[in-house]
Amino acid sequence: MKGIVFTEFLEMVEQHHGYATVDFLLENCDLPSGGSYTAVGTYDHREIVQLISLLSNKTETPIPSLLRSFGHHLFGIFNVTYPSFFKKATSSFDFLESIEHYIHVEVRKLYPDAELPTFHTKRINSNQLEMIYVSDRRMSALAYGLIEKAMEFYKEPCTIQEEHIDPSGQEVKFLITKDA
Amino acid sequence: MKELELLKRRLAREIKARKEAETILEQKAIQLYEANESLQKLNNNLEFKIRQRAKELVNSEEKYRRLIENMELGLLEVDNEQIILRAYDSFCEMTGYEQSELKGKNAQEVFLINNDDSILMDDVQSKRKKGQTGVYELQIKKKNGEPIWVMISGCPVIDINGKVTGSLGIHYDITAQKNLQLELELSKNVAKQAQKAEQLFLARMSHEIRTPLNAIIGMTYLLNDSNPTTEQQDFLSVLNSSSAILKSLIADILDFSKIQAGEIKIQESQFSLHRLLSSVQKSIGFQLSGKVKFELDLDPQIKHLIYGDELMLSQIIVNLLGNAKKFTAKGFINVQVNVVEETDTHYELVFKVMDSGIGISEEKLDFIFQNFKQIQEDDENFGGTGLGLAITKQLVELQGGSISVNSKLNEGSTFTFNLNYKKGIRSDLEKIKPKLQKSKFNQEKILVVEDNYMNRKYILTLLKKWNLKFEIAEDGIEAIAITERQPFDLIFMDISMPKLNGYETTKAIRNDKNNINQSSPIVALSASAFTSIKAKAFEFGMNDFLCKPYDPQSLKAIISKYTQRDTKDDTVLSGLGSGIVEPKFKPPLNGEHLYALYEGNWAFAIEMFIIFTRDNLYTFYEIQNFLQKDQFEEARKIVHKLITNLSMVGLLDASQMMLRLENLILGKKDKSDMIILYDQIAAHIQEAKPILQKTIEEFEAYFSINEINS
Repeated sequence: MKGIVFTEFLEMVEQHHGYATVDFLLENCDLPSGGSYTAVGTYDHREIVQLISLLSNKTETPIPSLLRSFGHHLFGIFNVTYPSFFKKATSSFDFLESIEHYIHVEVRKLYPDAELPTFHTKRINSNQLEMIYVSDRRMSALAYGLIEKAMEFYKEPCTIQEEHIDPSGQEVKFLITKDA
Repeated sequence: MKELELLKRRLAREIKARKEAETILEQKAIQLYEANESLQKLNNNLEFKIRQRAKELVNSEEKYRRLIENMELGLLEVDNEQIILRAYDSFCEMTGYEQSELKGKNAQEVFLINNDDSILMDDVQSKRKKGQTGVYELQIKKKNGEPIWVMISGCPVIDINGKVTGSLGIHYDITAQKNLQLELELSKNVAKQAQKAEQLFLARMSHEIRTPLNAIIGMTYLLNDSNPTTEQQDFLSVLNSSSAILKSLIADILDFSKIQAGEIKIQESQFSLHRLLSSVQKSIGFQLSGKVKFELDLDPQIKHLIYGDELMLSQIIVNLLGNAKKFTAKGFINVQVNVVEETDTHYELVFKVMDSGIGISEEKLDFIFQNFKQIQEDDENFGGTGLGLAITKQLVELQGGSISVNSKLNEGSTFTFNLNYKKGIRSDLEKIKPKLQKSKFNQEKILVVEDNYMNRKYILTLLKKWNLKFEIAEDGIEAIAITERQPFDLIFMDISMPKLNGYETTKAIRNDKNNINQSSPIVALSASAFTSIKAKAFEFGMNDFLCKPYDPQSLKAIISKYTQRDTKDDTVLSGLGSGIVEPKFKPPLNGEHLYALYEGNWAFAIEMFIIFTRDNLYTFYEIQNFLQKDQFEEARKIVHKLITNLSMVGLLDASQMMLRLENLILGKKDKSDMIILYDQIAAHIQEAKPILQKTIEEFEAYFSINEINS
């Protein structure tokens, strides 16, 4: 997993809970990398799973809601770091549809070793978009958070329904309906 | 303390992270350097390849240039302002310049001869600037001033940015071809003029030959009348037939030269196809021997007059019939006209002229419509120019038709041609016109409808002499009554009659289904030979026309045409006159005319003379009275009768003058002119009267009038 995910996760934890919690997580997890993450490096994804699980225990917050918050945080970072991706689309649905066919294609050019989820989109009508998340990492809640922030960014209030097509969470359907 | 530990750990982590990041970046930098190296190599390689390709391209361009140069094609490269950039060797050779002399010069200024060509060059130049190619011919001058013709294939020169920088012209010296072309055109013109001169010559010659030829023919006739010996008669008959052949040959040549010169134009008028065919039939009918039967079959679907060139159609049919006649010794000659297609406005007609003659062999069929081709080249029996069928074909084609021939050797030939005619007015009168047929009665019987006693006497005497049966009707009413009762093979119908004239009488007979003579042939008798009167006769359903006064030969020809009667064996009115001294008629009596009219039957002639002086002559003086009282129609009736009567006693000049008088009256001319003419005739008759009287006295001594009347 790309280093930026680790550095931004720890950044979020520090913002919400202070560096002591970051230190606690790094000291109490069994991390082969030793926890000294750099954005340009690549690390085992199991390390982030350990870090999130421990944070969940320590803050008594369910993992999905932690991932959703992390999604909110990451959207802000992406927006600052890669503004061109957001300027290209003029509406929320256009943007969401461009993730698979444009943004991920560009990301793979920069980081050939990046492991990315797949999104299948289908425009039901002008107000409804179906988006299916597929990934071994089972982090659909992170996607949920990102989608929420994206809708907010394009100022199009909406309701998002989540449905697990696969019980393990490897395949999840989001039905995004713009508020009338 | 705890916070210090925390900070120390954080610092350690961040240092470690930085070192790791640096290591990663170092590795990336190396990778980047290597990538850059290989990129540079790739680039060098590509540049080399491009250079190589470019060189190859230049080589091949040079190769083609050399090739073109070797092919004696001169290459010249100019910029957009026509300034010469490069003149290749063969171009220099072609124009006699050195390369160095041409470079930098304006091509137009150096080479153009004609100022007009600069317009052409401007056009060429603007095309090149648009990137278009083009081929054109141009006359240019060599260094020594000698002009040459070149064919130039020009193309624009385009640089790598797609901008037209100039043009390249391939020059090919076509002076020799151009000169040849000019010579050809010149000789073509010469040939055309020669052809025209030839046509003119032919036309003039034909004309010039015809004048003396007519004199020969005329003199032959006159010689015939000068009591030639039997041997001399033979010579004269050869002279006569030879000059007739010569005349028709010249007519052919004249026609042909006119067609060749495009002088024959279609003259359209409305005409009756039936009338045309029957008149053609008449003329051919006379010429056929008894062994050849002639039949005419006209499609009854044709119910209109047609618009077209009557003369041309008649010439076509006469030519084809003449041909058929020439090659058919026995059997038949048929003319068929059928409607192929009829629209509201047009008839598409197919004409067939069929014969049972000697036919044409297959290999010769292809040639027969060619000029000057005669099939029977080796046979002197069949004369002619060989132009007849060529003329016929051209006349058909001139009218938009086509002609073809079908033939089998020794079985006969069929000539078929199509013509399209616009419909004229409906001609229902044509319908009642009978199909021509020879007598269906065993006993030939002739009806003579004639009101003039003298004329009646003349024809009846002849019929009697030929042992023909006849009936007489003195006017139209009587004629209708008698035709209802008994059948006739032939009816002679005077046109000008009291009560009911010849036209109306004929119309009544033709329109009456119950009249047994509805389709009997009717021959008009008239002193007037005007075509309008003839045409009217045909329109009213008459079949033929005999102009008064007629000689016994003409009457005989008409009778044998319409009946089975072969009058050949009959001795012609000779008996009574034989063995006596031939009379000598003094002017104003026309001896020639009287000899032809009476053929030696002087007893009969004298009777006519007596009738004239006794019964007719006094009527002459009534004319003056009627004219003075402005009773012109009454005057005309007498004049009309006297035209024939005067001619019957040999007063031909008076007869001609009388005809003129009738025309003056008909034309409602000035009365004073009529009186002047009348006085002239009166003087004439006055002069003739004692001579007539003397002639009668002289001959009465020899003949008994009673004999003739028996």
